Amino acid sequence: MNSLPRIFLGIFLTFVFAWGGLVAMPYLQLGGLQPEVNEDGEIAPPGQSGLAEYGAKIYAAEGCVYCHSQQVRPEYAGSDLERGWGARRTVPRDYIKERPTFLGTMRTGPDLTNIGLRQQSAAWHHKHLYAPRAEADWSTMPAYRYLYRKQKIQGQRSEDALDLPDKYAPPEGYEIVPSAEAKALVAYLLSLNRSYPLTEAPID
Amino acid sequence: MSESHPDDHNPELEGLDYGESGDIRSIHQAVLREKADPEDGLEPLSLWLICFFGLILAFGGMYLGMFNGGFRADVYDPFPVGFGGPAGRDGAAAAAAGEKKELTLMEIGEKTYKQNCVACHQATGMGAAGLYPPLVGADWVVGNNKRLGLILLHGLEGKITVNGVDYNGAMPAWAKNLNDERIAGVLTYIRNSWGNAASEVQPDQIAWLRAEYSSRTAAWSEGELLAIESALPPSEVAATTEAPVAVETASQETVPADATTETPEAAAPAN
Repeated sequence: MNSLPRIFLGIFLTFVFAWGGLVAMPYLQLGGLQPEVNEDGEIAPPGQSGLAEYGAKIYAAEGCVYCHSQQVRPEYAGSDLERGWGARRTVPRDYIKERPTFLGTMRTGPDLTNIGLRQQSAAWHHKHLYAPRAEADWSTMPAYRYLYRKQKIQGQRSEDALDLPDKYAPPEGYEIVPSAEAKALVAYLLSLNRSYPLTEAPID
Repeated sequence: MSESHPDDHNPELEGLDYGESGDIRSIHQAVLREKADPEDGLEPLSLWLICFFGLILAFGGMYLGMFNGGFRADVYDPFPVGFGGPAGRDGAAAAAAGEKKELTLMEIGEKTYKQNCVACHQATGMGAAGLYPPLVGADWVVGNNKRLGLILLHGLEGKITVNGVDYNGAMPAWAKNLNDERIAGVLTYIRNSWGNAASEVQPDQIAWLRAEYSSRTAAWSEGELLAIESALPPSEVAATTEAPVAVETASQETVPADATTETPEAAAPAN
């Protein structure tokens, strides 16, 4: 058994090789990426507000990433652009301000890279999170009712109470209002807008 | 024969005939000579295998040479500009500058529509039943161009009736994301595609609309829009259907080129 050192060396080198290709090289190439001032004169990617950053934590906690990706593939690698999920592919620079990034692999639901551009209405998002089928009756998205509160209307109806169709509406005298978590999550969704041009990924 | 043979009481030779050897190596000598035991060493490799691996290496090297993008972090174009040439930013920019051609409003519109609108209104302009209204044959699209322009600039929320069907969604605002040319292009495109036929919308009309409603940020509602009766003022650009519109840089060559190619016969009735 005097070949044991050789076997261990082989295993070690295999892992070193993989680590070099998958971790070290990408880090050397992309680790120093900085935001840039793009052709529109704006800082790209823009940072997120504090509320949206909190919303990203809700996004992670609710497991949105299991069904929604946040990456638009280039034209030669898929039909993402044809589906209207973005005007350009996404590149590493899009994600440098995010910890963690929610790239996602499953697409049970649509890609959310630019959802803040496609659906700019907070009321729409609240309604959709509370009852996805109130917006699309074929939706397979789970309802996130526990992010909302049913409360008795005290005098006047709350300003941010959800405007629901009869099927999902609470009983008379009650209203559905978003919790702080729901508001943060929607703020995060509305902040998802990677439609700015970048040097390496211009919008033509 | 009482005399004893010297081999008689050698236990190793018991059972052997006279003259037979008990040495296993000498017994197998003939076999070993004909078929030697295999040994580790530098055996010659099959020539075919060498050729096969050579081809794989050559293909790998060629692939890496063509598609490495200069090993730059900011190059994402997988297709080679030139063999070993600058596939990167400079090369791509140079190639783009050389090929920057002028697009018509319809072409700008088609591109912009595909980038931003197909997710909801679909490539067919038919929308999605009960969710996103169709653009085909819709009065909102082919009718008053001012209302249509305002919907694009600031968005629309709440109930809207399109082709006799009620929709209740939220159209996003595009004032921040699309410039005048792109908005005019999209309007022109949706007004003249899928069987729709209506007047073009020029960028200067959108610029006027933007300035006129510069204080507006909220999304429109159906009622507010229906209260607007007037259409957009006519464009100051001569609205010729074939006039190319420069996207990036104005070119001085197209207009004289059109003028000189005019034949005398065609020019005569104009005079």
